[in-house]
Amino acid sequence: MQVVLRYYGRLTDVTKKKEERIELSEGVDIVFLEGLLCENYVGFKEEVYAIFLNKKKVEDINTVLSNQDEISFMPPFSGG
Amino acid sequence: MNCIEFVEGPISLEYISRLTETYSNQAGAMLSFYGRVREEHVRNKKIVAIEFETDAEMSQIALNDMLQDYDEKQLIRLSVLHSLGRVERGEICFVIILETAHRKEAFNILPDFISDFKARIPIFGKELFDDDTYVWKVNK
Repeated sequence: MQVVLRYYGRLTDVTKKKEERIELSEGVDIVFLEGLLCENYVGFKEEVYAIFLNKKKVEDINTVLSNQDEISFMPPFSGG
Repeated sequence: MNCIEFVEGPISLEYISRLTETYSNQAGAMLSFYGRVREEHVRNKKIVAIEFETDAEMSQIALNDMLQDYDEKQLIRLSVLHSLGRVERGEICFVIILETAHRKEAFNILPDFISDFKARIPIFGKELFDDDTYVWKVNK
């Protein structure tokens, strides 16, 4: 399956991108995805962020992902 | 009408003025707040601009959620403008216009609203320095 990952704030520096599409096996959850990002991007595991799945804040990191899900990684907000 | 509108670049006084042309008949008070990019020094470097980014849809959802915590009988109407992209030092990047029945409610609501907004609305700012470096803004 394919999912869209979106990065904001400092995470765009860590990943060097704002968005990417990646292929994942069926049945993977957010914990797995986070682990993958920590492996792929130096410094990712040190970052503080909230995760949003299809624009809703994730409360359970064992949530299983589905095809075409949009997962946003957002550091503490700094608007206003 | 309670909404957040994103404006590319700085927010002009003309744009703000157009927003204040309409009002609720139940509101006896209209209070406007303008936030500007302040000249500030960070690590001995001068901020010359801030670049903002957001997910607009998520910001509107977050604002709707946030407004559940406000008494709709007191906060009659609210408009929020926020810049996206680059805003230079001195320019306006954040505007709140709120309408209440009386001035007391308006002056009571505004400070907490601003604090809530900064904490709960997914907007991100990159502070640009005069030496072409930058740092991601941190709200205190």
